[in-house]
Amino acid sequence: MSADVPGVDSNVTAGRRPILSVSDLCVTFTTSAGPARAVRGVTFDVYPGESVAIVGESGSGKSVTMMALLGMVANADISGSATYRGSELIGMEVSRLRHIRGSKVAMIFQDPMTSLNPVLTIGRQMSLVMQAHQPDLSKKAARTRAIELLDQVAISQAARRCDSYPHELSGGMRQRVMIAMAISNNPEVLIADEPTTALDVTVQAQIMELLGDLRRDHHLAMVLITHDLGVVAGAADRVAVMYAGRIVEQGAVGPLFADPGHPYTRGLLDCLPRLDERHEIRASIAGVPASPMSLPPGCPFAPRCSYVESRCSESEPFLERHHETLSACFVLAGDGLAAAAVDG
Amino acid sequence: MKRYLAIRVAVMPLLLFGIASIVFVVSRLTPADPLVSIVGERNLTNPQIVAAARARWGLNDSVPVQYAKYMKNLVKGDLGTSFTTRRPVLHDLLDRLPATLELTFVALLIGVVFGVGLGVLAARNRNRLIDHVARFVALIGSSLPAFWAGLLVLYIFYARLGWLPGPGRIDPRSVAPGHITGFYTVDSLLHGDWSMFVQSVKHLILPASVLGWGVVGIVTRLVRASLLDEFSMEYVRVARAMGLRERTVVNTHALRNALLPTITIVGFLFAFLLTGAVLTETVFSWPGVGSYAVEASRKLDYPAIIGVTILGGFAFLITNLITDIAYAVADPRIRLS
Repeated sequence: MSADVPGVDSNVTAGRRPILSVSDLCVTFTTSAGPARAVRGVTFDVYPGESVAIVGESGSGKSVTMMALLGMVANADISGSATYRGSELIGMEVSRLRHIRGSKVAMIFQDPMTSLNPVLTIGRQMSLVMQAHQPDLSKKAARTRAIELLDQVAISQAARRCDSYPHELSGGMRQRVMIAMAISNNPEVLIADEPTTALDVTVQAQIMELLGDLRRDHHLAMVLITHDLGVVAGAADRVAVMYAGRIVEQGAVGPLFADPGHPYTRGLLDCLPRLDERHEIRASIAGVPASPMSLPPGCPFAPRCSYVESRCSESEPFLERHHETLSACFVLAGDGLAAAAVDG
Repeated sequence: MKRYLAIRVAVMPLLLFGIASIVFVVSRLTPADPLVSIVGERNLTNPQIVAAARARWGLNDSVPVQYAKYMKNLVKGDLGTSFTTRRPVLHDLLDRLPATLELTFVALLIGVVFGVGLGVLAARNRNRLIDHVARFVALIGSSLPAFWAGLLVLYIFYARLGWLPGPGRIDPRSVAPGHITGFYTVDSLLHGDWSMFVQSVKHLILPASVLGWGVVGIVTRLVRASLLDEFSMEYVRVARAMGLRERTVVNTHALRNALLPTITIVGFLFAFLLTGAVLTETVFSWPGVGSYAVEASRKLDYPAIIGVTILGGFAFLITNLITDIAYAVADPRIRLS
């Protein structure tokens, strides 16, 4: 993606190269019931210091995309390209990839209750992560650094917590520990896979705030994977909406929220609770998500779409310009272009 | 935790009492008469000898009276006198226990080291050749009968190759090291008798391997299965995503959790082998508790049978306790509750 693409802030990207660049990434799982096309040609860039949100329902391929570029997907055919600072990650041997995982590109996961090893202390687990990338780090130095990090993620009595076991901490605290672990090797990119989904609502806000602070202080680029557009608004610069293994819309947060060019995005936005309206029943998108095992011909969203036309089931739309976003929809994006042309 | 352990220790005598009662009753239910082994077949027709023997061994009393007498003695630590060795059962057991303990320790050591090793190897190479080979070795270990495996290794390594000595704890013409612990390997070292140490180790290798192989079979399958369970856990995925070496992911993260069920089974196996290594001890003429139990049951030697059983029950109680403590040490979640 080049700098003239809508939604990429030219101030952020001017004269800079993407730190993470994914292009035409495809992931097909081989299952006993046949191939499951989980990711079908995903392309996006992440620039230093920027925050990109990947939004979609479960099964849309958003997590698989990020797992694939870290080489963490088994039993699947992976094609396309994903580069970190120019070096190709797809097909890289695990022994080399290991030095990128957790060191340059770190990841935090959805469920902090199961993400930590129940029989090792917090400090020990953090030390293991640090020593994986800094073999010369002494036990004592690792512990000192662990306490420092726990302090940074606002865990009180960090020295004592260092010797705690995961079950002695609350869910929010465990997620803070995960975040501390993820930033312990000063990565450049932080992938946060549904970081707040498993947490209480009050804790969710705190965690998002913490992530925002760390991002600023450490000049971290972040890829935020979520199904919740509400989380995205305050936390991301750019958004990519995924559906059935494809990015169906992407753009800067403002334009995408104000004027979405894909019916799916519109549907997701309609599902958000709003302060200025009082809906007794919140809107939802009718139908079930497309199965990666049996995708319909044409646009995979067509069966659930209220704008559907006959051409939608004939061929699959690609990303096209719709005002200030890129959208993969014949009806809306096409009309948007036409409207813009008439206006001009 | 401390309170819990105190209660556990406190109820132990009660459990032992129960075990002793059940064995006592069950052994008296057998229709055979122990007089045969006491006086010998020839003297059975001599009423004087039979009467004297009955009086001498308290067999004229009714079973409840016998039971009361036995229990009274048991409280004093007296397990009765063996019909066949004519010595206190307790002394017999204490004489034989070190032989069995030494064999069991070494067998368990072999079993755990190789079992865990093979289990890890199998799990890391799931469904590949190494996995199949490891599982086959384990399967053979747990399905070959000990007497057959014992005879086989004796034939190969003693009779044919002559690499290792034959049955027994030491060579027939050697003299056992002076008694300190009863473990020949330890005693010979304490006496500074190096050649004796080598000899006793050589004698241990075959029986301990046969016994240990069975343990390998159980431990390998258990470690493999629980490691595979752990591999599917989220924290393992996280550890990999954080860039840890696969070796660290397996040995430090997954294995710590996978070994928890192994602790239980090893505890159980230890208690089991103390009294259950019957066939191995018999094949290798190992003067341990197992062969003592065989002799006792063959001769209907009630006091000895009950003694061995109480010893076995005691071993299970103790190892269960130790297992629970080990569990608490290994799993911080249990430590608290």
